[in-house]
Amino acid sequence: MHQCPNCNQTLHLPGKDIRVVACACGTLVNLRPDNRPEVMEAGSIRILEPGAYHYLQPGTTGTWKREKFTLSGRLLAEGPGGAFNYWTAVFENGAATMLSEGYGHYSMFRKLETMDGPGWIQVNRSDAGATIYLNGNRPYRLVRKSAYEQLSIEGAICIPVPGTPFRTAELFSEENGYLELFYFGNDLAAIFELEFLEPEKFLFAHTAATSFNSSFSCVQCHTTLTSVTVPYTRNIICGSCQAQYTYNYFGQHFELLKKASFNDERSTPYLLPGMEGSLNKIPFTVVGCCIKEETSGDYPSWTEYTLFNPEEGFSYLSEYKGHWVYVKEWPRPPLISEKGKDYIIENDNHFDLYNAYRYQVKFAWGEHIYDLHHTRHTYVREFVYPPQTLIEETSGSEECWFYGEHINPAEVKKAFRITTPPPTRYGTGSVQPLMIVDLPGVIKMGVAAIVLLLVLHMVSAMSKQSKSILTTTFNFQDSVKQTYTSNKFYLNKPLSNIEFKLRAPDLSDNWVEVSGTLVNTDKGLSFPFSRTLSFYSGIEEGERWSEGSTEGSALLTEIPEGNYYIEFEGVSDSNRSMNEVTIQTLYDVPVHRNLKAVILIVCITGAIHVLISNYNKNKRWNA
Amino acid sequence: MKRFNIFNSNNPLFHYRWFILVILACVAAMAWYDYQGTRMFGGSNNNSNSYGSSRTGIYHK
Repeated sequence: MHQCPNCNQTLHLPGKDIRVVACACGTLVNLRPDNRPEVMEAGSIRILEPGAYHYLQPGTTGTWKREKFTLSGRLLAEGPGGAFNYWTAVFENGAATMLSEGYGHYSMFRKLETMDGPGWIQVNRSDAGATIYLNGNRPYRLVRKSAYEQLSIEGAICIPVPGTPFRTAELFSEENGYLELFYFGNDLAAIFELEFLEPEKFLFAHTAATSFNSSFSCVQCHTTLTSVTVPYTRNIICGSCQAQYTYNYFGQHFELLKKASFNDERSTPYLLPGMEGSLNKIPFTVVGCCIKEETSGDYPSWTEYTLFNPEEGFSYLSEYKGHWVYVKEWPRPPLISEKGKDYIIENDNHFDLYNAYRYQVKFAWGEHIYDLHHTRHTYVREFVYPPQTLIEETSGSEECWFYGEHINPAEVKKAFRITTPPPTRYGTGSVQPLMIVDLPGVIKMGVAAIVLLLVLHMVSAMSKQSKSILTTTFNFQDSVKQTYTSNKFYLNKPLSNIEFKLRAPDLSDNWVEVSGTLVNTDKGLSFPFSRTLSFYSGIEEGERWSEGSTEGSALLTEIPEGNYYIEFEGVSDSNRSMNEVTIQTLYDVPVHRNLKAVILIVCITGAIHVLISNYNKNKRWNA
Repeated sequence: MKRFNIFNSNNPLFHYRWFILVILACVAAMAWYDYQGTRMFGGSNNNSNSYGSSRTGIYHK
């Protein structure tokens, strides 16, 4: 049982490791290691006002690895780089740990006891992306370094550092995960391993029911300006007079930026701050928009809309020449299995470098969670794997990754229930879905298809009878016309075919026509056919030529079961030499031409796919 | 079931969907024509002619 040293009220300590309690009398009570309570030298630490709105609040319950916890309090850390919340989660067994939350990112902390890490001076000398070694030889990449100047507390919390200056360094390695190092002054105070989770996985309950906003009047035009994203807001721009305000986290109010200036470019955005809509079943409010422009090349510009949901945090809609991309920041860098100068492979997806640039903000309206006037130092690389994109933004202090997907303009219009048509589309979007295939993939698929067709055709051919019914020969030595009538024979399949193979090996500079009729004696049906063979050859201007063939065939199909006979008639030119033609009649034969036809179709379709794909690739990269 | 849906844009075979459909149509058509013993695209070429009873069957005297 502990009492507040100031007002003697009993302090409620919900769990082990709780070190700081905000007493109702306004005193911050620090529990010393010997468990004696003392008034905390607040300095720049303040108590959050009761009812200070946030999506999570003391008393919110949740689940982590099937264990229930209750949030007992929050440490809100604010600095030039932004704001972040460190909640204390107390489990049913009394154990307490930290749950970090900010910008829609949630992670559970696990304290590491044995790791050695670098001091703040070393970290501060390194830029984001630098390699930092822990425990002597375990390499990590510096992802973010933050310095917090203002701490605010509500409820009862376990605190990683005893006060300000409060600094953190976030490290990442594909093999060893994500760490956050806490510094008090220049000394490393604690190292935590972070496990990120989507908010719905925590099964939060007893969250704040009402949405919060604060308003103030523009000092220039007296328009009421509303903020819904405090404490994350860095800038608010008045939509009426373009007056620009920055958030002062010490005084918790917005201040007019006198020196700030954007170009005078005025534009009417398609989505206006305050509009509400739903994307991917998540309700969003449009809180801000801006026009960004590359600082080199052809200075292309695009419009970016900031969307906010109290639970999911921030998302962005980016519109360039009528093409829209829905973007969300990832809490940690992607797991890249391979990377080169102009590509990365993430989750087996090959993302190609599409663009690399620096940018500046030309026009803005509404709330923004970064400093609109200091964007030139940020280097952006866009990797595309349509319809997906991965965007890396690096500056000296942080490396941020965003994941985006193409979204149809009609979906944006529908999501925000807008009646006016979206901006007209020009050209091809960077991640606009187009038919793109790779040549090896098409070849593999084509070869597999041809093998399958061959096997099927062979199986079918083996099931055919290919039965020779009769063979007859016409000799034209004595006559130019020959006839033949066969005996009756029986065809036993409900439906099949008959092929007549004609061979006239000594046919030269002559022709022969064979016609015939297959007669069904049961039903009185007849199936006529005729076939002409011709073969001519000679020498013209020293070159040998030939035309026609000494062989040919005719196929009668859909022949029903029954008794048949055949009548043949052969005619040839009497003036030229011609000996004989042999006619072989085969029943139920495989039709090999079918195989050739489908293989040709598969090859042509594959080639068309590759051609269209190459055309689409050029269209995208030349856009 | 969704992961077999090649018309789902997240499916890795999404861009090959029409090629796969053409292949499947070819397999089905060839199997059917082979079974029937008939010729696809029933026309004739230089060395062979094809006659279907549905086109040419007439009653014999």
